Amino acid sequence: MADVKVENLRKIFGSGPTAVRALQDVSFEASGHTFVSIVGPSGCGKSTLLNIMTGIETPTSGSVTITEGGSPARLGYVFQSARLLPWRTVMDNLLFVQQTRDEEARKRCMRFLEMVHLGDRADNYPGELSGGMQQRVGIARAFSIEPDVLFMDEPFSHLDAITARTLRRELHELWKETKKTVIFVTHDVGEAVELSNRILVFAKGGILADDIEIDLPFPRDSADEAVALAKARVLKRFEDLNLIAS
Amino acid sequence: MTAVASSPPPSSLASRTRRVVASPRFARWASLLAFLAFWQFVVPFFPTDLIPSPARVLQFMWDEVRGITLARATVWEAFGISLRRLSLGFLLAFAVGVPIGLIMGVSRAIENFFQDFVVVGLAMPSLVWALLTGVWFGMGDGAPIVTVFLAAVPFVIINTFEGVRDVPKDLTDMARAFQVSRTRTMRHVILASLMPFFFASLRYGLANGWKGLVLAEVFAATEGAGWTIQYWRDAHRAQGVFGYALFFVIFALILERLVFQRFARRVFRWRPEIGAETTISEMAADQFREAATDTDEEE
Repeated sequence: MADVKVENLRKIFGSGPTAVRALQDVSFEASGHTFVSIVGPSGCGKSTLLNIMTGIETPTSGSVTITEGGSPARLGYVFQSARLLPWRTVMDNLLFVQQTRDEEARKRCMRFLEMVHLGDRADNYPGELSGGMQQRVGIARAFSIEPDVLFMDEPFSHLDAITARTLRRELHELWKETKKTVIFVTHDVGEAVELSNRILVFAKGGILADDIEIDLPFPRDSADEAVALAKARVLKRFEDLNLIAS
Repeated sequence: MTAVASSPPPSSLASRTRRVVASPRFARWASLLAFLAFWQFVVPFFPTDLIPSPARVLQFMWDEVRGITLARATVWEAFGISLRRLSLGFLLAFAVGVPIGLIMGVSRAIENFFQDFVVVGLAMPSLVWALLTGVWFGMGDGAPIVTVFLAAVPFVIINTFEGVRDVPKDLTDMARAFQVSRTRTMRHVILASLMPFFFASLRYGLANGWKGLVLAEVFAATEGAGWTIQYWRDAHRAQGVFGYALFFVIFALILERLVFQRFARRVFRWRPEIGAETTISEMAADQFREAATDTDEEE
């Protein structure tokens, strides 16, 4: 079971009068089979937080500890755009991030490609796939390394509504089946309510303003009354925190 | 009542003819044929003997191809010598230019150190290198090889440097997020993304190196394609000069169509739209425009 611990995380870009505070003393914990969404307005430090948690950026102060049974956890990442190597086939893109590239790794990659319904596209190049398919490959790639914690940075924001909805369902199935810890960044409150059991609300200036539990059974449909009510409750909280115009 | 008028369908032969005449390929062949016709039938009326007819030039070329020549070497031998010099000079330019371009791309200080030399190198006419190397090395292989090196190396450096600066950061970040080893990232992300730029160095470096080589062979060699065209000029055989000029064109076309384009199709097969009409620089531009768009969107 993975444990994520973020303590007093602070990130300041630049220095002097032009310095920008991206994160201010952010602390939270998450562990086990949980789906945590990080929501907030543009520029509130959501992506910076994710980049620090995955080691792409370093914090100004504070610490991030992600462990699995006491040892460093294996991390998977799904980006806003698919970020596939255009010169490698779909299968090779998955193999690129594997620790070993033996037959077992190949079979595992194929299993996840099949789970996102792209088993027959393994030998295609990314340029031959649609945007939605490319993002599916990105999701399969992240799951294929069998990560202890999976980070997702607005993975569906570039897709049309129908494709995004399908992929949300597929993601939920994968999460249910693999029982991973997922940290999911989004600016779409509806998406967060549909997928998560916990929502961290960030305010401008990188402040963790609220931690909301969503205690509803899965699968959730945005048309369900309970889901709509939960969404309204989170949005109301946004208004109270002055994150959106009331 | 509504009357519907329709024109009779045009005959298929007429429409096909119109389509053929309107095609770009037709215009290109027509211009070539018009040029040859002008040369064959109009130029003889000019008051000069210095422009041979196409027939004489073709006869000369045919003799050369069959190994019949008055010069010291046949066209095959002359081009063989030049190609050897071109390859050696260019390999040297690649071996020196790629490391310099790479370190310029990662270090601002080294970029500033080499920048002016590269700009001067790009602006310098190959003629200057040919003359200078002739003075330095005298007659022989030295001057042509060093000229190729000096003419090609700035193109190799600048293209490698631009390639390193444009390595897609989103892909290197992805590799880091997935804890992919540095060697794998270097091989599959950085070097792979540099391929279009290496290809551009190859193409432009070779083209410029070739021009420098021919000049250096004119001034400072006793054999090779450049020396031979000079030989025909000194022998007052205009058909020889014209014939060799056409051999240069044929050589460039062979290099372009049979080597570069085939190589590009193989190396860039991941880009389905690659065809005969797409140049490598356009591909590189497209690729990095896409990468830039992705980065912009994420911001």
